[in-house]
Amino acid sequence: MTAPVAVTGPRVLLHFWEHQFIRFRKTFRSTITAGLVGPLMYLLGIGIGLGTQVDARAAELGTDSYVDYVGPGLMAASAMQLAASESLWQTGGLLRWRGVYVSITSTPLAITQLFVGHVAWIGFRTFVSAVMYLIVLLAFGIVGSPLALLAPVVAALTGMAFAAPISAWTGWSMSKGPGEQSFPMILRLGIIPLFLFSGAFYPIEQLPIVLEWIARVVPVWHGVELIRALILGEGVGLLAGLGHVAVLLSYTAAGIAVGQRTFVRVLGS
Amino acid sequence: MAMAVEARSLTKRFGEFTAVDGIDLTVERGESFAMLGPNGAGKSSTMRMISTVSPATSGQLSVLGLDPATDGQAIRSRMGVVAQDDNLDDALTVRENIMIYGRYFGLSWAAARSKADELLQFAQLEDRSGAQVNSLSGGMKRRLAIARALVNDPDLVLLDEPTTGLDPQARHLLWERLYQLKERGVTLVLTTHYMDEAEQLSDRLVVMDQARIVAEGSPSSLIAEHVSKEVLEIRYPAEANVDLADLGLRTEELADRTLIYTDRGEDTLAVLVNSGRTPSSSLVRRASLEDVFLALTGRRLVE
Repeated sequence: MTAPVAVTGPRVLLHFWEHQFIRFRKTFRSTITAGLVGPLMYLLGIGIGLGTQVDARAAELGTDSYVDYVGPGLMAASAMQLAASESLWQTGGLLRWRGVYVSITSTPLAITQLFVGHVAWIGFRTFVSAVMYLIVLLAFGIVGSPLALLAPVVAALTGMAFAAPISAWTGWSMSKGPGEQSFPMILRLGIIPLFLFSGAFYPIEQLPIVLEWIARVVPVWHGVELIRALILGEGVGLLAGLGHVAVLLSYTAAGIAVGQRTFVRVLGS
Repeated sequence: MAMAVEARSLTKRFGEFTAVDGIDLTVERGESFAMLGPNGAGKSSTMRMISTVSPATSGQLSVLGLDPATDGQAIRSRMGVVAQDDNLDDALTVRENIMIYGRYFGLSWAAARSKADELLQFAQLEDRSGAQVNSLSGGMKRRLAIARALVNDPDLVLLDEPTTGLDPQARHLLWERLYQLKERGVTLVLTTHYMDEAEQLSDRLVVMDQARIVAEGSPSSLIAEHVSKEVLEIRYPAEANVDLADLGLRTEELADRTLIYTDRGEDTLAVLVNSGRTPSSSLVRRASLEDVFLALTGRRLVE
């Protein structure tokens, strides 16, 4: 026998991302297509289409036209949506139906590390989609500042703020809970309302006070606000900006703390 | 050098349910060791504890001289695990499954490539190297799962029910490959509910039933210790009521036939025929681990 290969510490996480990247590359072309068509549809349908009816009052939103307002906001809201669907069916498949994560538990990668790598990977996935969003926004002439280059990073943070807690749920529901039957409910009763009330389409101040506060507590609005400010170059106070980032990171951290436990439960008991 | 596996009073509970109830076992380096028992006997739970993913509820466990609770990463880097459901990555090709797995163990791309070539040959999958995993037969998938588990040149290979669900031809090919590994000095630990598999592959085995070890030894010593050399299987018409007590041999009544444990099956059959108790059919065979299990637990391995 040859000498045992020693892989210790977090370096093995790099191999996890490499593995995910190679899987991702296989569907790259359809990802690119979907990544460009999605925002194109939204901007044409809602930004331009609905915009014809509401552009006259766009000044109240602080932009020249409605598409300027809704376009950047949708980058954040779409990041949430993508992260949610990756954290539900995709993650359920990796955990159970396809067993990819089960086989990884026999490598040096620990399950707790695996969860961190998993959330970071979904962050990267949302980053890639946000970059394509940014390209479409550029084509529409909506980008008003070089700070817009930071927007995909914020989109990734928004994605992780949802990926961590939702993946934690998926881990739990696959071990003890209701399993994938719960996924459509989470999407319909959780993610779609959040999408509509995220502040992407109109300021959340327009909402009834209870909904407005729900919107403020949930991470997506923080992503929407920060991304819109970065893309339009309207500037956001340093303190407010840091506040938004802190909320996104808190959800990610809390989700990781819980998700590490639920993944240990589903993969290692 | 430390034992490959050493367990003392090893216990695993899931809530109220006890899956493994204080077992002791030792696997030496280079040994091929089997856990034989029916479904639910605690074999897989024991395997999962050895593979470091499932923490023991109580008792001591040492794998390759290390503690799974604290040195999981170091243990896994020197171990190969073949799970019951293969768990291959269906987004990758056959060859990529081996290479990318190897990367987790610190292999360079060049090393992963040459290792994949070597293992594809070992698993007789060279001509399927670029194929999608889903196009493989069950036996091929299992061979690929075994090849993948060998990518880090493991000191210890765990195989959970390696041939369950495979057709006889695929089983024999797999046994032949595993035998080759054994010849190379790789320590094998496998679970099975097939007695012929345990007889073929193991130097030593434990028989598990209801979370406990009920017997331990080499296949031949277990047979010698718990049953006779031969077994005479006889059938009588359903309405016949034949008394066999005068033979002075241990018998076992099964639903469709009666087993008589004897050292000379033909002689025992002759006694029956000469005393007017000719069975409607009869068979003399070597005693097997199946008989050991039946003798120990009163139940059959595979129902």
